[in-house]
Amino acid sequence: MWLTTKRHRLVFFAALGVFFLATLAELFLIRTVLEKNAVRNAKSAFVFLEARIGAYLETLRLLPQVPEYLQDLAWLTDELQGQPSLVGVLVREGKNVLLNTFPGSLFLLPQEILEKCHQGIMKDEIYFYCGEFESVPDRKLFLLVGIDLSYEKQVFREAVLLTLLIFLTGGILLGLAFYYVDRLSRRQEELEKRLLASEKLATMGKLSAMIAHEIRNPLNSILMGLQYMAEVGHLSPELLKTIRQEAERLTELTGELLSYTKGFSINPEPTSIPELLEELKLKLLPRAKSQNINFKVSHAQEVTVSLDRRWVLRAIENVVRNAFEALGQGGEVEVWVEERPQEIIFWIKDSGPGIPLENQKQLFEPFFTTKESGFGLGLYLVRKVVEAHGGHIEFESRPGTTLFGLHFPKG
Amino acid sequence: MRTSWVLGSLFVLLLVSGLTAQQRPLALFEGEEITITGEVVEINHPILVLQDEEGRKYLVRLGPYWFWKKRKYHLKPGAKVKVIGFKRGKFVFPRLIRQDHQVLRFRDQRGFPLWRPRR
Repeated sequence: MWLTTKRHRLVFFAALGVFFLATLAELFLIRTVLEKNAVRNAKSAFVFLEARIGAYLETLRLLPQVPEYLQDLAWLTDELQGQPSLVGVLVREGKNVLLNTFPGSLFLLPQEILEKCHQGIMKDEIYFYCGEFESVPDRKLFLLVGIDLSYEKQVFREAVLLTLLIFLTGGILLGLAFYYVDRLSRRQEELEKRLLASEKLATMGKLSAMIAHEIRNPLNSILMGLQYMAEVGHLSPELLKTIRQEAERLTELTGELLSYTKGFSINPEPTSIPELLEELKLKLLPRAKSQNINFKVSHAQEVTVSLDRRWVLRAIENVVRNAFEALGQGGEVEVWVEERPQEIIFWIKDSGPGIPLENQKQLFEPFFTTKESGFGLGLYLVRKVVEAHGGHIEFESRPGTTLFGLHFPKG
Repeated sequence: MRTSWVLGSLFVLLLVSGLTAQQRPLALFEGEEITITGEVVEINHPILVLQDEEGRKYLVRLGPYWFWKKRKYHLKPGAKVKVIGFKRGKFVFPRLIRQDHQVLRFRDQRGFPLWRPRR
Protein backbone atom coordinates (compact mmCIF):
# COMPACT_ATOMS: atom_id res chain seq x y z
CA MET A 1 0.00 0.00 0.00
CA TRP A 2 1.34 3.39 -1.01
CA LEU A 3 0.03 4.99 2.20
CA THR A 4 1.94 3.38 5.04
CA THR A 5 0.21 5.13 7.93
CA LYS A 6 -3.15 3.62 8.84
CA ARG A 7 -4.48 7.02 9.91
CA HIS A 8 -3.51 8.56 6.55
CA ARG A 9 -5.21 5.70 4.71
CA LEU A 10 -8.39 6.22 6.70
CA VAL A 11 -8.42 9.98 6.17
CA PHE A 12 -7.68 9.54 2.45
CA PHE A 13 -10.56 7.11 1.91
CA ALA A 14 -12.87 9.25 4.03
CA ALA A 15 -11.95 12.32 1.93
CA LEU A 16 -12.43 10.32 -1.27
CA GLY A 17 -15.81 9.13 0.01
CA VAL A 18 -16.92 12.67 0.79
CA PHE A 19 -15.72 13.78 -2.64
CA PHE A 20 -17.64 10.93 -4.28
CA LEU A 21 -20.83 11.78 -2.39
CA ALA A 22 -20.45 15.44 -3.37
CA THR A 23 -20.04 14.32 -7.00
CA LEU A 24 -23.20 12.22 -6.82
CA ALA A 25 -25.09 15.09 -5.21
CA GLU A 26 -23.92 17.42 -7.98
CA LEU A 27 -25.12 15.00 -10.69
CA PHE A 28 -28.45 14.56 -8.91
CA LEU A 29 -28.86 18.34 -8.77
CA ILE A 30 -28.02 18.76 -12.47
CA ARG A 31 -30.48 16.00 -13.39
CA THR A 32 -33.24 17.56 -11.29
CA VAL A 33 -32.69 21.00 -12.86
CA LEU A 34 -32.75 19.52 -16.38
CA GLU A 35 -35.94 17.57 -15.67
CA LYS A 36 -37.66 20.65 -14.27
CA ASN A 37 -36.57 22.59 -17.32
CA ALA A 38 -38.00 19.89 -19.62
CA VAL A 39 -41.36 20.01 -17.82
CA ARG A 40 -41.39 23.80 -18.08
CA ASN A 41 -40.61 23.61 -21.81
CA ALA A 42 -43.40 21.05 -22.38
CA LYS A 43 -45.94 23.24 -20.60
CA SER A 44 -44.80 26.29 -22.59
CA ALA A 45 -45.16 24.32 -25.83
CA PHE A 46 -48.62 23.21 -24.78
CA VAL A 47 -49.67 26.81 -24.11
CA PHE A 48 -48.21 27.85 -27.48
CA LEU A 49 -50.20 25.09 -29.22
CA GLU A 50 -53.41 26.13 -27.42
CA ALA A 51 -52.90 29.71 -28.61
CA ARG A 52 -52.06 28.69 -32.17
CA ILE A 53 -54.94 26.23 -32.60
CA GLY A 54 -57.29 28.67 -30.86
CA ALA A 55 -56.37 31.52 -33.22
CA TYR A 56 -56.64 29.20 -36.23
CA LEU A 57 -60.10 27.91 -35.30
CA GLU A 58 -61.32 31.41 -34.47
CA THR A 59 -60.17 32.65 -37.90
CA LEU A 60 -61.93 29.75 -39.67
CA ARG A 61 -65.08 30.49 -37.71
CA LEU A 62 -65.09 34.17 -38.67
CA LEU A 63 -64.30 33.75 -42.38
CA PRO A 64 -67.46 33.76 -44.55
CA GLN A 65 -66.07 31.24 -47.03
CA VAL A 66 -63.28 28.92 -46.03
CA PRO A 67 -61.42 26.93 -48.70
CA GLU A 68 -61.74 23.22 -48.08
CA TYR A 69 -58.01 22.65 -47.80
CA LEU A 70 -57.76 25.32 -45.11
CA GLN A 71 -60.09 23.31 -42.91
CA ASP A 72 -57.48 20.57 -42.74
CA LEU A 73 -55.35 21.12 -39.64
CA ALA A 74 -52.42 19.56 -41.52
CA TRP A 75 -52.10 23.17 -42.73
CA LEU A 76 -50.17 23.82 -39.51
CA THR A 77 -47.66 20.98 -40.08
CA ASP A 78 -44.95 23.18 -41.62
CA GLU A 79 -45.21 25.70 -38.83
CA LEU A 80 -45.22 23.17 -35.98
CA GLN A 81 -42.43 21.04 -37.42
CA GLY A 82 -40.40 24.24 -37.64
CA GLN A 83 -40.28 24.44 -33.81
CA PRO A 84 -36.87 23.12 -32.73
CA SER A 85 -37.84 21.43 -29.47
CA LEU A 86 -41.18 20.06 -30.60
CA VAL A 87 -41.02 16.39 -31.60
CA GLY A 88 -44.66 16.26 -32.55
CA VAL A 89 -48.21 17.41 -31.91
CA LEU A 90 -51.40 15.40 -31.79
CA VAL A 91 -54.80 17.14 -32.10
CA ARG A 92 -57.87 14.97 -31.72
CA GLU A 93 -61.58 15.72 -31.65
CA GLY A 94 -63.21 12.72 -30.06
CA LYS A 95 -61.77 9.71 -31.91
CA ASN A 96 -61.04 11.81 -35.01
CA VAL A 97 -57.36 12.73 -35.45
CA LEU A 98 -57.19 16.27 -36.88
CA LEU A 99 -53.41 16.67 -36.83
CA ASN A 100 -50.46 14.41 -36.11
CA THR A 101 -46.99 15.73 -36.73
CA PHE A 102 -45.16 13.01 -34.79
CA PRO A 103 -42.36 11.21 -36.62
CA GLY A 104 -43.18 8.00 -38.42
CA SER A 105 -42.12 5.64 -35.65
CA LEU A 106 -44.25 7.53 -33.14
CA PHE A 107 -47.19 8.17 -35.41
CA LEU A 108 -49.27 5.62 -33.55
CA LEU A 109 -48.63 6.73 -29.99
CA PRO A 110 -48.63 3.96 -27.37
CA GLN A 111 -51.73 3.78 -25.16
CA GLU A 112 -49.56 4.23 -22.06
CA ILE A 113 -48.56 7.72 -23.24
CA LEU A 114 -52.13 8.73 -24.05
CA GLU A 115 -53.26 7.63 -20.59
CA LYS A 116 -50.48 9.17 -18.54
CA CYS A 117 -49.70 12.32 -20.51
CA HIS A 118 -51.98 14.50 -18.36
CA GLN A 119 -49.42 14.37 -15.56
CA GLY A 120 -46.56 14.39 -18.01
CA ILE A 121 -44.59 11.29 -18.97
CA MET A 122 -41.04 10.77 -20.10
CA LYS A 123 -40.29 8.07 -22.63
CA ASP A 124 -37.02 7.51 -24.45
CA GLU A 125 -35.86 11.04 -25.07
CA ILE A 126 -39.28 12.68 -25.30
CA TYR A 127 -41.46 14.32 -22.67
CA PHE A 128 -45.20 14.05 -23.41
CA TYR A 129 -47.77 16.42 -22.00
CA CYS A 130 -51.48 16.69 -22.91
CA GLY A 131 -54.79 18.24 -21.94
CA GLU A 132 -58.30 19.09 -23.09
CA PHE A 133 -58.91 22.35 -24.92
CA GLU A 134 -62.06 24.22 -25.96
CA SER A 135 -61.27 27.38 -27.89
CA VAL A 136 -64.57 27.79 -29.77
CA PRO A 137 -68.08 26.63 -28.80
CA ASP A 138 -68.85 22.94 -29.35
CA ARG A 139 -65.31 22.05 -30.35
CA LYS A 140 -63.60 20.15 -27.58
CA LEU A 141 -60.12 19.10 -28.57
CA PHE A 142 -57.50 16.84 -27.08
CA LEU A 143 -53.99 18.30 -27.48
CA LEU A 144 -50.75 16.41 -26.93
CA VAL A 145 -47.22 17.73 -27.32
CA GLY A 146 -43.95 15.80 -27.33
CA ILE A 147 -40.83 17.69 -26.34
CA ASP A 148 -37.38 16.61 -27.46
CA LEU A 149 -35.15 15.86 -24.47
CA SER A 150 -32.10 14.78 -26.46
CA TYR A 151 -30.40 18.08 -25.74
CA GLU A 152 -31.03 17.78 -21.99
CA LYS A 153 -29.86 14.15 -22.09
CA GLN A 154 -26.75 15.19 -23.95
CA VAL A 155 -26.11 17.96 -21.43
CA PHE A 156 -26.51 15.41 -18.62
CA ARG A 157 -24.17 12.92 -20.30
CA GLU A 158 -21.58 15.66 -20.74
CA ALA A 159 -22.07 16.67 -17.12
CA VAL A 160 -21.46 13.02 -16.12
CA LEU A 161 -18.30 12.96 -18.22
CA LEU A 162 -17.02 16.24 -16.79
CA THR A 163 -17.93 15.25 -13.25
CA LEU A 164 -16.14 11.93 -13.66
CA LEU A 165 -13.10 13.71 -15.03
CA ILE A 166 -13.19 16.14 -12.10
CA PHE A 167 -13.61 13.20 -9.70
CA LEU A 168 -10.71 11.32 -11.30
CA THR A 169 -8.47 14.39 -11.30
CA GLY A 170 -9.49 15.29 -7.76
CA GLY A 171 -8.95 11.71 -6.62
CA ILE A 172 -5.49 11.61 -8.18
CA LEU A 173 -4.57 14.99 -6.65
CA LEU A 174 -5.91 13.88 -3.29
CA GLY A 175 -3.94 10.66 -3.56
CA LEU A 176 -0.77 12.55 -4.46
CA ALA A 177 -1.28 14.98 -1.60
CA PHE A 178 -1.73 12.15 0.87
CA TYR A 179 1.23 10.26 -0.63
CA TYR A 180 3.49 13.26 0.00
CA VAL A 181 2.04 13.89 3.45
CA ASP A 182 2.68 10.24 4.27
CA ARG A 183 6.21 10.42 2.93
CA LEU A 184 6.93 13.64 4.83
CA SER A 185 5.49 12.16 7.97
CA ARG A 186 7.72 9.07 7.67
CA ARG A 187 10.71 11.28 6.98
CA GLN A 188 9.87 13.39 10.01
CA GLU A 189 9.64 10.27 12.17
CA GLU A 190 13.03 9.11 10.94
CA LEU A 191 14.54 12.54 11.60
CA GLU A 192 13.04 12.65 15.06
CA LYS A 193 14.51 9.25 15.84
CA ARG A 194 17.91 10.36 14.57
CA LEU A 195 17.67 13.59 16.54
CA LEU A 196 16.79 11.68 19.68
CA ALA A 197 19.71 9.34 19.14
CA SER A 198 22.03 12.33 18.58
CA GLU A 199 20.72 14.03 21.69
CA LYS A 200 21.28 10.87 23.69
CA LEU A 201 24.82 10.65 22.39
CA ALA A 202 25.45 14.32 23.23
CA THR A 203 24.05 13.83 26.71
CA MET A 204 26.17 10.75 27.19
CA GLY A 205 29.21 12.76 26.13
CA LYS A 206 28.35 15.58 28.55
CA LEU A 207 27.76 13.16 31.38
CA SER A 208 31.01 11.34 30.69
CA ALA A 209 32.90 14.64 30.72
CA MET A 210 31.22 15.68 33.95
CA ILE A 211 31.93 12.37 35.65
CA ALA A 212 35.55 12.35 34.47
CA HIS A 213 36.00 15.91 35.73
CA GLU A 214 34.41 15.17 39.12
CA ILE A 215 36.44 11.99 39.60
CA ARG A 216 39.80 13.25 38.39
CA ASN A 217 40.43 15.82 41.20
CA PRO A 218 39.78 13.50 44.16
CA LEU A 219 41.73 10.73 42.45
CA ASN A 220 44.67 13.09 41.90
CA SER A 221 44.61 14.07 45.57
CA ILE A 222 44.53 10.42 46.63
CA LEU A 223 47.36 9.45 44.26
CA MET A 224 49.54 12.38 45.26
CA GLY A 225 49.00 11.65 48.97
CA LEU A 226 49.85 7.98 48.52
CA GLN A 227 52.91 8.83 46.41
CA TYR A 228 54.15 11.28 49.03
CA MET A 229 53.74 8.75 51.84
CA ALA A 230 55.52 6.12 49.74
CA GLU A 231 58.43 8.50 49.18
CA VAL A 232 58.79 9.56 52.84
CA GLY A 233 58.26 6.00 54.04
CA HIS A 234 55.72 6.66 56.79
CA LEU A 235 51.99 7.33 57.11
CA SER A 236 50.88 10.89 57.59
CA PRO A 237 47.65 11.24 59.61
CA GLU A 238 46.82 14.50 57.84
CA LEU A 239 47.26 12.97 54.39
CA LEU A 240 45.26 9.91 55.42
CA LYS A 241 42.44 12.22 56.52
CA THR A 242 42.55 13.99 53.15
CA ILE A 243 42.61 10.66 51.30
CA ARG A 244 39.62 9.50 53.31
CA GLN A 245 37.72 12.76 52.62
CA GLU A 246 38.41 12.46 48.89
CA ALA A 247 37.33 8.82 48.86
CA GLU A 248 34.12 9.83 50.71
CA ARG A 249 33.59 12.54 48.09
CA LEU A 250 33.89 9.96 45.35
CA THR A 251 31.43 7.66 47.12
CA GLU A 252 29.02 10.58 47.50
CA LEU A 253 29.39 11.44 43.81
CA THR A 254 28.67 7.90 42.65
CA GLY A 255 25.66 7.84 44.96
CA GLU A 256 24.36 11.05 43.42
CA LEU A 257 24.85 9.78 39.92
CA LEU A 258 22.99 6.61 40.72
CA SER A 259 20.18 8.61 42.26
CA TYR A 260 19.51 10.32 38.90
CA THR A 261 18.66 7.00 37.36
CA LYS A 262 17.20 5.10 40.30
CA GLY A 263 15.37 7.97 41.93
CA PHE A 264 15.93 9.41 45.35
CA SER A 265 15.85 7.44 48.49
CA ILE A 266 15.86 10.03 51.24
CA ASN A 267 16.53 9.36 54.89
CA PRO A 268 14.74 12.08 56.84
CA GLU A 269 16.05 12.75 60.32
CA PRO A 270 15.46 15.57 62.79
CA THR A 271 17.43 18.47 61.36
CA SER A 272 18.19 21.75 63.04
CA ILE A 273 17.43 24.46 60.54
CA PRO A 274 19.82 27.11 62.02
CA GLU A 275 22.64 24.56 61.93
CA LEU A 276 21.82 23.67 58.34
CA LEU A 277 21.90 27.31 57.32
CA GLU A 278 25.12 27.90 59.21
CA GLU A 279 26.77 25.07 57.32
CA LEU A 280 25.48 26.55 54.07
CA LYS A 281 26.94 29.92 54.95
CA LEU A 282 30.33 28.47 55.85
CA LYS A 283 30.44 26.52 52.64
CA LEU A 284 29.50 29.33 50.27
CA LEU A 285 30.81 32.49 51.93
CA PRO A 286 34.34 32.18 50.47
CA ARG A 287 32.97 32.05 46.94
CA ALA A 288 30.58 34.94 47.63
CA LYS A 289 33.52 37.04 48.86
CA SER A 290 35.60 36.12 45.84
CA GLN A 291 32.78 37.39 43.61
CA ASN A 292 32.19 40.45 45.79
CA ILE A 293 28.61 39.35 46.48
CA ASN A 294 26.76 40.38 49.60
CA PHE A 295 25.67 36.94 50.83
CA LYS A 296 23.20 37.05 53.73
CA VAL A 297 21.83 34.04 55.56
CA SER A 298 19.16 34.82 58.19
CA HIS A 299 18.77 32.37 61.05
CA ALA A 300 15.40 31.65 62.51
CA GLN A 301 14.85 30.65 66.07
CA GLU A 302 15.66 27.05 66.81
CA VAL A 303 13.49 24.86 64.61
CA THR A 304 13.93 21.16 64.06
CA VAL A 305 12.27 19.50 61.10
CA SER A 306 12.47 15.98 59.73
CA LEU A 307 14.54 16.32 56.52
CA ASP A 308 17.30 14.53 54.68
CA ARG A 309 19.92 16.98 55.79
CA ARG A 310 22.53 16.16 53.16
CA TRP A 311 20.16 16.40 50.18
CA VAL A 312 18.33 19.52 51.42
CA LEU A 313 21.65 21.27 51.96
CA ARG A 314 22.71 20.25 48.46
CA ALA A 315 19.43 21.53 46.97
CA ILE A 316 19.67 24.97 48.65
CA GLU A 317 23.36 25.11 47.72
CA ASN A 318 22.49 24.47 44.06
CA VAL A 319 19.99 27.35 43.99
CA VAL A 320 22.48 29.70 45.67
CA ARG A 321 25.32 28.62 43.32
CA ASN A 322 23.05 29.36 40.37
CA ALA A 323 22.38 32.81 41.84
CA PHE A 324 26.14 33.42 42.19
CA GLU A 325 26.66 32.42 38.58
CA ALA A 326 23.85 34.69 37.42
CA LEU A 327 25.27 37.67 39.34
CA GLY A 328 28.88 37.37 38.16
CA GLN A 329 30.51 40.18 40.16
CA GLY A 330 28.72 42.17 42.86
CA GLY A 331 25.07 41.99 43.82
CA GLU A 332 23.19 40.40 46.65
CA VAL A 333 21.98 36.95 47.59
CA GLU A 334 19.80 36.37 50.62
CA VAL A 335 18.64 33.13 52.20
CA TRP A 336 16.06 32.97 54.97
CA VAL A 337 13.55 30.58 56.44
CA GLU A 338 9.84 30.98 56.98
CA GLU A 339 8.03 28.68 59.30
CA ARG A 340 4.37 27.99 58.73
CA PRO A 341 2.07 25.66 60.65
CA GLN A 342 2.27 22.85 58.07
CA GLU A 343 5.54 23.59 56.31
CA ILE A 344 8.88 25.20 56.35
CA ILE A 345 10.04 27.33 53.42
CA PHE A 346 13.59 28.15 52.41
CA TRP A 347 13.58 31.44 50.45
CA ILE A 348 16.52 32.28 48.19
CA LYS A 349 16.51 35.73 46.64
CA ASP A 350 19.07 37.32 44.33
CA SER A 351 19.46 40.66 42.59
CA GLY A 352 20.53 39.14 39.27
CA PRO A 353 19.22 39.88 35.75
CA GLY A 354 16.32 37.42 36.10
CA ILE A 355 15.38 34.29 34.15
CA PRO A 356 14.08 34.88 30.61
CA LEU A 357 10.40 34.02 30.27
CA GLU A 358 11.00 31.43 27.52
CA ASN A 359 13.33 29.46 29.84
CA GLN A 360 11.11 29.46 32.88
CA LYS A 361 8.97 26.47 31.84
CA GLN A 362 11.97 24.18 31.35
CA LEU A 363 13.92 25.39 34.32
CA PHE A 364 13.55 22.20 36.34
CA GLU A 365 13.88 19.77 33.40
CA PRO A 366 16.95 17.51 33.33
CA PHE A 367 19.80 18.62 31.03
CA PHE A 368 18.27 22.04 30.46
CA THR A 369 20.93 24.68 30.74
CA THR A 370 21.84 28.06 29.27
CA LYS A 371 25.42 27.88 30.53
CA GLU A 372 28.21 26.70 28.30
CA SER A 373 29.85 24.61 31.02
CA GLY A 374 26.70 23.43 32.79
CA PHE A 375 25.00 20.04 32.59
CA GLY A 376 21.48 21.18 33.43
CA LEU A 377 21.18 18.91 36.45
CA GLY A 378 21.38 21.45 39.31
CA LEU A 379 17.78 22.63 39.43
CA TYR A 380 16.54 19.18 38.35
CA LEU A 381 18.19 17.85 41.51
CA VAL A 382 16.50 20.61 43.55
CA ARG A 383 13.11 19.54 42.21
CA LYS A 384 13.79 15.87 42.89
CA VAL A 385 14.87 16.61 46.47
CA VAL A 386 11.83 18.76 47.21
CA GLU A 387 9.41 16.29 45.59
CA ALA A 388 11.00 13.38 47.41
CA HIS A 389 10.09 15.18 50.67
CA GLY A 390 6.51 15.74 49.42
CA GLY A 391 7.07 19.45 48.94
CA HIS A 392 7.02 21.84 46.04
CA ILE A 393 8.93 24.74 44.54
CA GLU A 394 7.69 28.21 43.70
CA PHE A 395 9.58 30.93 41.99
CA GLU A 396 9.17 34.29 40.39
CA SER A 397 11.68 36.20 38.35
CA ARG A 398 11.96 39.62 36.79
CA PRO A 399 14.98 41.76 35.96
CA GLY A 400 16.68 42.67 39.25
CA THR A 401 14.96 40.08 41.43
CA THR A 402 14.63 36.31 41.37
CA LEU A 403 13.01 34.50 44.26
CA PHE A 404 12.92 30.74 44.85
CA GLY A 405 10.83 29.14 47.59
CA LEU A 406 11.54 25.52 48.55
CA HIS A 407 8.50 24.23 50.48
CA PHE A 408 9.07 21.22 52.76
CA PRO A 409 6.19 19.77 54.75
CA LYS A 410 6.81 19.44 58.42
CA GLY A 411 5.25 16.05 58.85
CA MET B 1 -0.29 -0.32 -9.50
CA ARG B 2 0.29 2.72 -11.75
CA THR B 3 -0.60 0.73 -14.91
CA SER B 4 -3.89 -0.42 -13.39
CA TRP B 5 -4.71 3.20 -12.48
CA VAL B 6 -4.04 4.37 -16.05
CA LEU B 7 -6.02 1.49 -17.57
CA GLY B 8 -8.88 2.10 -15.15
CA SER B 9 -9.00 5.80 -16.02
CA LEU B 10 -8.96 5.01 -19.76
CA PHE B 11 -11.79 2.52 -19.31
CA VAL B 12 -13.90 5.08 -17.50
CA LEU B 13 -13.19 7.67 -20.19
CA LEU B 14 -14.16 5.28 -22.98
CA LEU B 15 -17.30 4.27 -21.12
CA VAL B 16 -18.32 7.87 -20.62
CA SER B 17 -17.52 8.83 -24.23
CA GLY B 18 -19.79 5.94 -25.26
CA LEU B 19 -22.50 7.34 -23.06
CA THR B 20 -22.17 10.77 -24.58
CA ALA B 21 -22.39 9.51 -28.17
CA GLN B 22 -25.52 10.95 -29.72
CA GLN B 23 -28.34 8.62 -30.63
CA ARG B 24 -29.69 8.68 -34.20
CA PRO B 25 -32.55 11.21 -34.28
CA LEU B 26 -36.03 10.15 -35.36
CA ALA B 27 -37.21 10.60 -38.94
CA LEU B 28 -40.33 12.73 -39.39
CA PHE B 29 -41.56 10.73 -42.35
CA GLU B 30 -40.44 7.12 -42.66
CA GLY B 31 -40.91 5.33 -45.98
CA GLU B 32 -43.62 7.73 -47.03
CA GLU B 33 -41.78 9.64 -49.70
CA ILE B 34 -43.70 10.24 -52.94
CA THR B 35 -42.62 11.69 -56.26
CA ILE B 36 -44.95 13.76 -58.47
CA THR B 37 -44.05 15.10 -61.88
CA GLY B 38 -46.28 17.78 -63.31
CA GLU B 39 -46.90 21.43 -64.11
CA VAL B 40 -47.36 24.36 -61.76
CA VAL B 41 -50.94 25.49 -62.22
CA GLU B 42 -51.08 28.17 -59.60
CA ILE B 43 -48.72 29.56 -56.99
CA ASN B 44 -50.02 31.61 -54.13
CA HIS B 45 -47.75 31.49 -51.09
CA PRO B 46 -47.75 29.28 -49.10
CA ILE B 47 -49.75 27.05 -51.50
CA LEU B 48 -48.73 25.72 -54.91
CA VAL B 49 -51.23 23.83 -57.09
CA LEU B 50 -49.59 21.09 -59.12
CA GLN B 51 -51.19 19.04 -61.84
CA ASP B 52 -49.64 15.70 -62.88
CA GLU B 53 -49.70 14.07 -66.30
CA GLU B 54 -52.94 12.22 -65.43
CA GLY B 55 -54.60 15.52 -64.55
CA ARG B 56 -54.65 14.96 -60.74
CA LYS B 57 -54.20 18.13 -58.71
CA TYR B 58 -52.02 18.38 -55.58
CA LEU B 59 -51.80 21.10 -52.96
CA VAL B 60 -48.12 21.63 -52.20
CA ARG B 61 -47.35 23.42 -48.90
CA LEU B 62 -44.41 25.67 -49.65
CA GLY B 63 -43.13 26.57 -46.17
CA PRO B 64 -42.58 30.11 -44.90
CA TYR B 65 -42.28 32.88 -47.46
CA TRP B 66 -39.18 34.34 -45.75
CA PHE B 67 -37.43 31.03 -46.41
CA TRP B 68 -38.09 31.41 -50.15
CA LYS B 69 -36.80 34.95 -50.08
CA LYS B 70 -33.72 33.93 -48.17
CA ARG B 71 -32.92 31.06 -50.52
CA LYS B 72 -33.92 33.15 -53.59
CA TYR B 73 -36.29 30.43 -54.75
CA HIS B 74 -38.59 31.29 -57.61
CA LEU B 75 -41.34 29.40 -59.45
CA LYS B 76 -43.86 30.54 -62.03
CA PRO B 77 -47.12 29.00 -63.20
CA GLY B 78 -46.55 26.74 -66.19
CA ALA B 79 -43.21 25.47 -64.97
CA LYS B 80 -42.55 21.72 -65.34
CA VAL B 81 -41.39 20.38 -61.98
CA LYS B 82 -40.70 17.20 -60.12
CA VAL B 83 -41.77 17.24 -56.46
CA ILE B 84 -40.32 14.72 -54.01
CA GLY B 85 -41.98 14.89 -50.57
CA PHE B 86 -44.48 13.49 -48.12
CA LYS B 87 -48.26 13.50 -48.00
CA ARG B 88 -50.23 14.56 -44.91
CA GLY B 89 -53.96 15.18 -45.11
CA LYS B 90 -54.75 17.24 -48.17
CA PHE B 91 -51.21 18.51 -48.53
CA VAL B 92 -47.92 17.49 -49.99
CA PHE B 93 -44.91 18.63 -47.99
CA PRO B 94 -41.98 18.82 -50.43
CA ARG B 95 -38.47 17.69 -49.53
CA LEU B 96 -37.30 19.16 -52.81
CA ILE B 97 -38.68 20.58 -56.05
CA ARG B 98 -36.64 20.04 -59.19
CA GLN B 99 -37.09 22.34 -62.20
CA ASP B 100 -34.76 21.70 -65.12
CA HIS B 101 -31.33 21.86 -63.43
CA GLN B 102 -32.52 23.87 -60.45
CA VAL B 103 -33.25 22.10 -57.17
CA LEU B 104 -35.23 23.86 -54.44
CA ARG B 105 -34.66 22.12 -51.09
CA PHE B 106 -37.17 22.38 -48.20
CA ARG B 107 -36.53 19.45 -45.90
CA ASP B 108 -33.64 17.14 -45.07
CA GLN B 109 -33.50 13.39 -45.66
CA ARG B 110 -35.35 12.71 -42.39
CA GLY B 111 -38.11 15.15 -43.27
CA PHE B 112 -37.14 17.98 -40.94
CA PRO B 113 -37.83 21.47 -42.36
CA LEU B 114 -34.63 23.35 -43.29
CA TRP B 115 -35.99 26.48 -41.58
CA ARG B 116 -36.22 24.62 -38.27
CA PRO B 117 -33.48 26.06 -36.00
CA ARG B 118 -30.97 23.58 -34.63
CA ARG B 119 -30.99 23.03 -30.83
